[in-house]
Amino acid sequence: MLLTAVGMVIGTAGVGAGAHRPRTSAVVPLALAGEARRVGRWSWAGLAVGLVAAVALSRWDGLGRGLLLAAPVLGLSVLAGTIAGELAVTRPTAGTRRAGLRARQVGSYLPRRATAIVAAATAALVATTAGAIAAGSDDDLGRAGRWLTTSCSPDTSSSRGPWPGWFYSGPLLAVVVAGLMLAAVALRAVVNRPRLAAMPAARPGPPAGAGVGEGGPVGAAVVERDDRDALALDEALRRWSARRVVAACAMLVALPLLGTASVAAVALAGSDCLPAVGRVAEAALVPVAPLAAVLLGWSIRVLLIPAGVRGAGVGAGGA
Amino acid sequence: MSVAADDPGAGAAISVDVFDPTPPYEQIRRQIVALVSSGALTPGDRLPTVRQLANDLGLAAGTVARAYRELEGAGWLNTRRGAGTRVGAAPPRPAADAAALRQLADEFVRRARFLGADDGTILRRVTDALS
Repeated sequence: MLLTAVGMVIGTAGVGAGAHRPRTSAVVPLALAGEARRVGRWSWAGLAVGLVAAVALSRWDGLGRGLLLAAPVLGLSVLAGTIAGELAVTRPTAGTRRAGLRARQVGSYLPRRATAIVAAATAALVATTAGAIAAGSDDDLGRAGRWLTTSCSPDTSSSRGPWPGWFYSGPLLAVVVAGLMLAAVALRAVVNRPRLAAMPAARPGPPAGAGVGEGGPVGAAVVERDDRDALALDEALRRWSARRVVAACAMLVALPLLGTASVAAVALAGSDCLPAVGRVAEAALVPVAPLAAVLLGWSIRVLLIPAGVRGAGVGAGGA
Repeated sequence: MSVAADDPGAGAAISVDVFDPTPPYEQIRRQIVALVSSGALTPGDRLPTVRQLANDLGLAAGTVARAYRELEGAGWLNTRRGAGTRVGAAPPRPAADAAALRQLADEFVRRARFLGADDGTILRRVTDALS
C-alpha cells in the first residue's frame, strides 16, 4: 500500500514518463488563439464531466464494481472531449486556402516512451484479467468468478474473495476495449482535423489557379511567416492533444490494473493450498500495483497541463 | 518569406482560390505537377491523405480525390494500400507549351537577324545546338 502511494507521488511529480509542459506558449493572433483554446476547452470539459461521472459511478454497486469502473469512465470522457475539441476546429472558409503537403502521421505526435509504457500496462491488464477470469469460481450467491477456490484435498477446498474474475473483469474489459477504440478515433481526429490557418484576409496573395501553371513558378509553395507561426501552433496543439489521448488511455488502464493486481495478490496471499503457479502469480503481481500507480500519477499530471496558448495582446492563460 | 520546400518544418504547400474560374481539383493538380517538376517534391515523397488535404483546404474529399486520381492516371502519383499516396518513381515530363516555344523561337530568330546572321547560318547554329 505504501509502495503504491509512493509510486503515485513519483508519477505525479513527472519522473514517470517524461511529462512536461508543451511549448505552445508562443503569442499568436487572437483568432488563432481562440481556435486553439476551443480545442482545450472541450478537452477540459471532458475531464470535468468525467470527474463527475467517476464520482457518481464509484458509489454504484457496493461490491466495488463502480469504484473499478470510475477511472476508465473518466478516461472515456477525456477521450470524448478530445474528439469534440478536434472536431470543433473550423474548416477554412476564406477565398484562398493554403495547405501543407506533408502527410501527418499519428506516430509523429505520440510521446513514444509513454505510449510504450501504456501499451505494456494494457497488456499487463489483459493478462491479469484473463488469468483471473480463468481461475475464478462462483461465489455463494452464484456471481461468476467472484471467488478464488483452491482444492486442498479431494474432499476439502478453500474459497476466498473478492477475486477479480468475470464479475469484475467482464465489465472492465468491455469499458477498456471501448476506450481503446475511442482513443483510436481520437488520434485520427487529431491528425485529420483542419490545420489552424493564418487569416488570409490580412495578406491577400495571387490567385492560386492563374499564377501557377505546369512547369511555371512555384509561387504556391511559398509559406509566409505568419503562416509558419500558425503551423508551429498547430503542430504543438496536435502534440498536446495526442499526449492527452495517451494520458487518458493510461487513466483507462492504470487504476483497474492497480485494483485487479492488488485484489488478486491479496486473495492469493490469503489462500490455503495454493498450487505453485499461484505462488508465481502472486510474486509477479506484487510489483504491478506500484508501477500502475506511477502511471496513474503521470496520467493525472498530464491531464492537468494546460495548452498554454496566448493571444496577441491578451494575457489569456491555459486553454 | 521562405520557400516552403527549403523549410523542413513546413514542407511544400499549395493554395486553392475557390473564387478562381479554374476548378479547385485542377488547381491542386497543377500545383502538385509544378512542385514535382521543380523538384520541391521528389519521387517517393509521401503526400497527405485525401481527407487530410480536404480538411486543410476546406474542400470536399471528392475534390481532392479527383485531383489525386488524375495525377495517378498520368503517372505523377502512386497510391498503394498501407503505403499511402507517393510521388511516382518516374514522373512524366510536362508536355511542351507550343505557344511559349514559338515565342522563344521568334525571339531567337529576331535577335540573330539583328546580329546580321542569314537564315542558313541561323539554321546551322540551331542544328549545332541540338546536337
